[in-house]
Amino acid sequence: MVEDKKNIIKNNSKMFLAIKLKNKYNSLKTFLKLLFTNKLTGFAFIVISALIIIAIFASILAPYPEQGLGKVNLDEVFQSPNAKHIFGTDELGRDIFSRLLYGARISLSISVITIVIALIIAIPLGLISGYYGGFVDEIIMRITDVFLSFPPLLIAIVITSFLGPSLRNAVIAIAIAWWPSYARLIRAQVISVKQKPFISASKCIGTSDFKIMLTHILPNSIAPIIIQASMDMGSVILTAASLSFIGLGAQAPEPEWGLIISTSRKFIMDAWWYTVFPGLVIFITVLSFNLLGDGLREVLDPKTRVR
Amino acid sequence: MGVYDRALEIIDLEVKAKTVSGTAELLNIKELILDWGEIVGIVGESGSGKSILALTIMGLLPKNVFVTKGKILYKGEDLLKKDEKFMREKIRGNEITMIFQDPMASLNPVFTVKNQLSSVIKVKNPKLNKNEIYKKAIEMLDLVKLSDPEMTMNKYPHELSGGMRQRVLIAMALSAQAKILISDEATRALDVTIQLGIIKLIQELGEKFNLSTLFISSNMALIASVCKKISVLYSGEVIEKGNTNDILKEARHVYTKSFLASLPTAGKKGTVLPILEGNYPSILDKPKNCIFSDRCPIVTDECRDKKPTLSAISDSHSVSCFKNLDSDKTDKGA
Amino acid sequence: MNYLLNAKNLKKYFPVNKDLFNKASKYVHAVDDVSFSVESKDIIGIVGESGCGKSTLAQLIMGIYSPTSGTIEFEGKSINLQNKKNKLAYKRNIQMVFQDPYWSLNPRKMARDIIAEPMRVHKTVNEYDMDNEIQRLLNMVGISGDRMYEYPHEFSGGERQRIAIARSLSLSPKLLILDEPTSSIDTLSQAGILNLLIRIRDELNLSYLLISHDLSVIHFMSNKIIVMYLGKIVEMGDVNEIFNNMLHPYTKALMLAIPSIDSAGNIKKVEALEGNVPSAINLPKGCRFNARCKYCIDICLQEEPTLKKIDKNHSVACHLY
Repeated sequence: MVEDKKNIIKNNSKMFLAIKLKNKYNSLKTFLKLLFTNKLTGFAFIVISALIIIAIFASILAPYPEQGLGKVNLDEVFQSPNAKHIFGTDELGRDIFSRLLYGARISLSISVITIVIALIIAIPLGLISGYYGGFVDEIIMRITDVFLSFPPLLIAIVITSFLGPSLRNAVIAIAIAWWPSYARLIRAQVISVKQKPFISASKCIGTSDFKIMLTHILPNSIAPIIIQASMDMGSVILTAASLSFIGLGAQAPEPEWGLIISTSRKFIMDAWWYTVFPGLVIFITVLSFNLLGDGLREVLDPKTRVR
Repeated sequence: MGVYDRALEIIDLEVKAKTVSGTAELLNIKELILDWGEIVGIVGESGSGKSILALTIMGLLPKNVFVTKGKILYKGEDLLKKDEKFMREKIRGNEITMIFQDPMASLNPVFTVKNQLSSVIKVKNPKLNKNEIYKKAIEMLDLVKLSDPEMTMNKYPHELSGGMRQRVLIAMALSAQAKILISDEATRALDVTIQLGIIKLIQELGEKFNLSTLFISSNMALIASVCKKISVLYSGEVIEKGNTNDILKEARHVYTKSFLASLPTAGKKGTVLPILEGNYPSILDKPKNCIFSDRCPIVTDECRDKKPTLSAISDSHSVSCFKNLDSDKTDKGA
Repeated sequence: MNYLLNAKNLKKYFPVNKDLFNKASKYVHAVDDVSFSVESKDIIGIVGESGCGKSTLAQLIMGIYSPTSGTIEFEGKSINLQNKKNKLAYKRNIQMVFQDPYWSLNPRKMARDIIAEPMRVHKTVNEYDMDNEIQRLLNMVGISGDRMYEYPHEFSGGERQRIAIARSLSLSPKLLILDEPTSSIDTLSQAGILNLLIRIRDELNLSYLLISHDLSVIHFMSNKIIVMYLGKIVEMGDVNEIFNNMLHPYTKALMLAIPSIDSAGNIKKVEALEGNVPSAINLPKGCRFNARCKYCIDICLQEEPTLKKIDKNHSVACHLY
């Protein structure tokens, strides 16, 4: 009997999951349809998807995988773009195209990890701050004020010079510099959502504050954060590149885009391709993330959606 | 004004929207007439297209909504053929003004009432000096029965109550010498007692200044107490129109009858209110021919094969139903 | 007499102008000395302009605010909301239906989860019986049980309000507070909701506190009426008694100001109520309605009238009676 009950619960929850998945699939379909109604957003979406695939399969896609990781090939230094090396080679004879493919892996993971860390700090603080208000809110917001009064790059530089220059520390530093703006965004969103009647309804039911925050407020305030995060992906890549550029981020021979440009600047007069291609790649990536963010704003904004 | 008999004439208007899931038909109005100094009520539920109608007249349709055919004649000119510049400078806020449910949206929050009202007056009367404009503004506020015009002048919109804001907007419309006022649920968010003040004002202004009003609302009782004529809008089409008494006492269309029957009144206490079965048709999937055929209890094959047109059953009263000649008045409700 | 709910001298003052030491110099008298009782199967209509304190009163009874003074007795027991356990048990008995069905349901949750929330919080139904229970509740409010996997935006306004009602019924409460339950839905859906509310009241022996500004809805639904003005009850009594023999000048003015149509299609003549509601911070001396009252006499400017019993089922707070 007990077994039966358990089985039925299991079956029910399985069916429930299946329906949920189907719903998710359907909403994903509409989401993509909406995303592609704007051509620029569609373009950005394709570029970013391509970047992700490149990052995952860099070792297969790169013509010279070992060089991508830093193997020196002194026979072919400073070759201008040709059939063998479409983006040319650098001062150590490494294929720049391969290095950029591997760089995608680094840059994308930097931006994802950084933003995830920043959100992990920001979401609870923003929720608490916005939901409870009063004294707690005051304290959390003054802390963010302190952080926001410095340019993020400056904070990141200070932190990395404390922790020592490395890619990992750069990620930590950028995340610390970045969370306050998310915390503020979430707080503002929470304040507007918590005034909605369905929150009062939950309070009338007797749902605990923690549950209200987690199941009602967070899902309804996440859209602008997704938009902001996708726009920030580009900025984080830029910041990481800047840190690497001044020697506080990735260390040679890592194929980080910022670091590649930083090294190339000595040879800019003789080997234009060495600077131009990494620069272009950063430019296109950052632009795509910004375009995607803009597009997401349009898609996720309920006002532009058809009911 | 006498040159044109009609204040506003809408002929054969069709409005469609492009959505992700296909083309949606929003409006299909054969004829809608507003005479000078008259208040015409448009009653309809949400989804009937009443707000789209207001926006079409104002030329303020959203990006994905298009007028596919028809005319909106104002002073003999087709407003749909005018360009944006003409609409902005000559029509919108000047000749034709609209008041919304949320008056805050139409007032500039950073300027005082004085600022906003004077600038409207100045455009219309460029020769007046500062003092005269001020006097005129006070006069206008007095006209809309704001209790203390001098004090109201120096206030910002957020310092006023909802009813006062609507009055200020009406004062601005009058200063711009508007000929037509479109009220889209303008009193819905207001307190019942305040609501009445606004509609009384609209009535008075109609008589005094020959101001014509298109009064859009879903509240039948409210419309009936303001308007002499009522058009019933269902799913983008006028299915019945007539003088207020025609509609209230001798409604012919099943929808209108059901609508009236479903109003709770003291006399129906203790009874079950009659309900019309079925859901409002989706704009993407409307029934063919008679728009009401999917919910109508007296539907016949004729209704599904042929589209009924709005035909007159008396001088003032017309209905869009094949069964309109049935004089069976006892059959109230569905 | 056995009362379901008995509110005695309820007061709620909200402090304004707090100074440095959190001491308020002034108060908003949102609810000021309100007493009334609810019997089983009662539908009590509460009418008044915005700012008359009807929403605060509802929230006091709901336990969202605790009263500044006064007591609420439920089934003969005084309610102490400081105790968390008591509060949760009390909330099971009283539920609320909100005005706006578009925002009173979480747009990101399925109907199933929305209705299940109270039962999960109070652990009244286990997951095994949940689907059946939800189906039963949905059927009760007239929605097909297989629509439980749909999201709020897939329902019409009226259907959403039905879901909100199903949610409020899921804990088998004894009293429902209906805060303008039909004012933001269409006329035809409104009729369905009103029929539904009457039906479930009879089936489940519920009592309602119905807050509305639509007098025809109040007249149609309720058996008792409370008219509030500036935090006070000005007139209270049996619905027929009030509508046939209204005494307080404010009640009269309010009834006159609201347009309605009767069953024969006649339009009621309306007359505007002049003046605005005074601020609830600086209350006028004497009767609170004196500035707008046509029948104001000397004593009205001096002394505040108390609620007097005129008849068995009729009380009024006016010096004229």
